Parts: sequence; structure tokens; C-alpha cells
Amino acid sequence: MPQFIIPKPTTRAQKEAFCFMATRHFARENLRAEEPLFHMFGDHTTILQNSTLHSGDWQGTVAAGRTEILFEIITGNPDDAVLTDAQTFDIHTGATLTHVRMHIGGHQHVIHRKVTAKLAENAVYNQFTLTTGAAASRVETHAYLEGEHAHVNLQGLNLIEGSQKADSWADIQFIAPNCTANVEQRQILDGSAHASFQGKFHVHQAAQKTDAYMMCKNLLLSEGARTSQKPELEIYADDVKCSHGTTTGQLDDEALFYLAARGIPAHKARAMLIQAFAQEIASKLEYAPAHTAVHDHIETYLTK
Amino acid sequence: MSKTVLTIQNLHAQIEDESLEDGKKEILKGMNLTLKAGEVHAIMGPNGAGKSTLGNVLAGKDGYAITQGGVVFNNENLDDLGADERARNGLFLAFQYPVELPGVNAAQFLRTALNAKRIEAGEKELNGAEFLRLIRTHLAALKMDESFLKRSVNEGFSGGEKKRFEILQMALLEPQLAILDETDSGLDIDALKIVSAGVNDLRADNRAFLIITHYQRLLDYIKPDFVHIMADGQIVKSGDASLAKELEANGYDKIMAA
Repeated sequence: MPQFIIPKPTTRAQKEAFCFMATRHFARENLRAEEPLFHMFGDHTTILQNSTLHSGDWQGTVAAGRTEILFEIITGNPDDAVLTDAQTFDIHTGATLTHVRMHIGGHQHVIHRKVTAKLAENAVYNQFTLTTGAAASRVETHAYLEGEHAHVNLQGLNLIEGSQKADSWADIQFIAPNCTANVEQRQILDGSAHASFQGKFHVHQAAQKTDAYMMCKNLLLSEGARTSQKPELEIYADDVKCSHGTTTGQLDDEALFYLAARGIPAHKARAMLIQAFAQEIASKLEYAPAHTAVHDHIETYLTK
Repeated sequence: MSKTVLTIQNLHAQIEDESLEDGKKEILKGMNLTLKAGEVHAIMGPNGAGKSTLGNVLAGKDGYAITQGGVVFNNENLDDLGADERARNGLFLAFQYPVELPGVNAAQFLRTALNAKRIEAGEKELNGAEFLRLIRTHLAALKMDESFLKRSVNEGFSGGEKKRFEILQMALLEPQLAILDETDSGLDIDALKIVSAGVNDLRADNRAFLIITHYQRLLDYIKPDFVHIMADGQIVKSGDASLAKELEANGYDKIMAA
């Protein structure tokens, strides 16, 4: 069932991802997946001949104390490809999973991805998602903090234009005490693009001392761009700290004037500020190959 | 005879302000001033005199309109040039409140600004290594640590660091006309000395300074050739450095009444 096909990597980012994931594939005794970890919509003809529907359900376990990295790039040009998958991660005591996703394929793709992460005591799940591709994408993350001192860190950047739609949904269930979460979303919207973000912190009664933060920042570059936000807090414990916030704005006139007053032409000044807004969240990626790939993709995408 | 850098003639300018009934307010009401290369002019005046508006109008900020008279900078009508073109042509405004640019790397910002000017002048752009060599000498002169280059522009800078960073930009861009808007505000005495020394180092025969300040204090460190007192959108009195002293001793009201 060759649902995920690994085409020959061509770009620098793909090569880095490919080399890394190939290594992982052979040395992943702790991550049981039936399918290759690296899946990609390719512009390879084989894919077009097979099917343009890619789907899969798979599970991964990160054994106690281990640190695993999953770096996925979804790319390619088929104009009507669909990816729908569900991933479940069991992150055991003291283990860390860093999961980086780059959805950078054609603008006609449809992507629907669901992640369920279960975290034991002192487990960490780091997720970073960059979306520039897909006509419509929906990424869901459901995290269950079942052990004390577990930590979830979700970062997302939607960089879309034209009539693209991106929907990001995070549902964090705080079940054990002393758990923490950090959810940061950024959206840069041009044309008539629409991005929506829903974030929910559900703090169960036993989950005292929960410390959770959620922020969504939107940069609108056109009159037609739209954004919707729905933060939700559902709290049943009485000693917790949960905060959420959102900002929506255009490029700052004062910042543009400051750059102009230093001789920087308007188009370049705009590009610098958009880059800065995007790279600020990308800079939080600690895993170097992914950081490089994300940074380079944003730069290329915004200077195209 | 020194070259004339800036001529302000009967300048009337208004600010567009939506909160006002007719949406605009006249701030500059017939301003006249000529700056020659090598000269340092100070403009002093009470709050609301139009000092900062003058800086913004000269630098080309949006939201201001020249309604009468004009400004000639280096034989060009300033109103014909956008803010970025003015800067590339050698006009520099040191901001009263330098803008924080989160995520914009300071080194990249400085190099982009310098190269924009070099492209305009038909010079070769500096690459990373060439730029680093150049900026290091400027950093050392202003007693600034190299770690500044890794930070985001002005983000999290103290008041003194922001002003030093403004002077660093001025040193790097080598303007023909430098306008300092309330550069002394937010500075303690040590920072004031460093910033003033930076400005004094940049005094040159081919460069003019326009120093906008509310207090005489800055002029203890940067000696002006001329002092002008501005009130209600006009220059009401001009003199040499002693005028600033007189102002400090007697206050604006007395001087203007005289």
C-alpha cells in the first residue's frame, strides 16, 4: 500500500529533511510506524498515476527518557492532491518529541491532519507547523497531559494568500497537576485569504497549578484578508494560571517611516517587516535542520 | 564660501488630524532658515512650538502637508522626494523615540540602509564581511558592544542604547544634513556625554546639523554656531550660543517678550 511516496529530493531543504528522515527511518526502534516517517506529495509522475489521495493512520511511541524528532515536509505540485491523516503519539515518562511540519506544496492541495499526543510525567511535545501551501488546510492537535509536569509547546505560522484557507485547532486537556502549555500562532494573510484559529485549554479538576499561555497574532496585508479567532478556557481547578490573547493589525506606519528615514525603499521595508514577523516565531525552532529549512522557505516564499 | 545645504523659506505646514473638526491643523506658520555646510544650528522652544513637526516635515513623514513656501535641500525641492529618497540623498533624522522593530536584525538593518544609499550613489554594495569591518570601527567609537548587531532593532534597548544606536546609524550613513530631534530626552548624564561626543566627532566641513531641543543642557556638550528660538510655528529670535544660556537663565516667556 504505497500511500506515501518518497520522491527524489531536490531542494536543499528537502535534501536535509530527506537525509535526516532516512537516518531516522532506519534507526527508529522507538518510533513504531508502519509507513515511512517522511511523506511528501511529489511532482513525480508515479504519484499522479497512482492516486492523488494520500491517507494514513499511524502511531508512534517515544520510549521513556528518549528524545525523538519528526520532521515532515509536504510539498509537490499536483493540482488536486488530498492528504488526510491521523497521527497518534504516546510520549512516555521524561521523553520528548519534537515534531516539525512544513506544508509547502501546491496551492490546490487539500490537507486535513490530526495529531493526538498523550503525555506521561515530565514528557514534552514540541510542535511547529508552517503552512504556505494548500487551497484549504486544517490541522488539529489534541494533547492529553496525563502525567505531572508534562509540557506542550505548539507553534504555528500560516502564510497564505489568494483564496487560501487555513484552519488551526488546538485542544489541550490538562488532566494531571503541574502541567504547562505554550500555544503561539501567527498568521500573515494577503489577497482574500482566511485563517482561523481555535485554541482550547480544558483544565480538569485535578490539574492544579496548570500554567498555560495562548497567543495568536495576525498580520493583514490586504483589505480582503480575514482572520477569525476563538480562544476557549474551560477550567475546573481553582489554582491555575491560564491566559490568552490575540492581536490583529497591519504593518506599522511608524516602523515603515523609520525604515524609510534610513533610505530603505518602501517595497523593501515592507518585506523586512513581514519577514521579521514570520521569522520571529520561526526563530523559536531549536532543531537546527528544521530551523534552517523553515527560515529559508519563509525567505524564499516572501521574496518570490 | 560654504555650500548651502538647506533652505527653508516661508514654510507653512499642517498636520492631518482626524480628531479635529476640519481634519487638519496648521503647525508651521512661515518658517525661514538657512543651513550651510559645516554649521550647527540649534532650534529651541517651548512645547507645542512645532519643533518636532519641523523634523518630521523635513524627513518626509506621512500625515503632514506643506501648504505654502518650501524647502530646498541640496538644490532639490524636498517636497518632490519621498522619505526614503531624502535619506539616500543625505538627510538623516535621529528620532526622539526610535521605533522598535521586533525580529528585524540590527546588522541586517544597518547593512540594508547603507547599501540602499550606496546603490543610489552608484557605488558597490558592501558584503557581510566588508560591512562588519566598517561597523566595528563605528561601534568602538561609540563604546558599543558588538552584541548590538545580533539584537532586534531597538527592541528592549534602554533609552541610552536607543540614542546611541541612532548616532551609530548617523555615523554609518554619513549624512550631509543631520537633524537631531530631542536627542537628549531620556538620557542620563553619562549617556548624554557619549552621544554628544559621537555627534561632535561627526562635525565636518561638509555636514550641517539641526539640533532640536527643549533644554539647554545638550548644548553644553554640543556647541552650536547658531541658536534659534521657535514659538507658534515660527522662528522668533536667532542668535549665537549665548542665546541658549540667556534662555536657560530667564525662561522662554521673558526672552520672547523682549
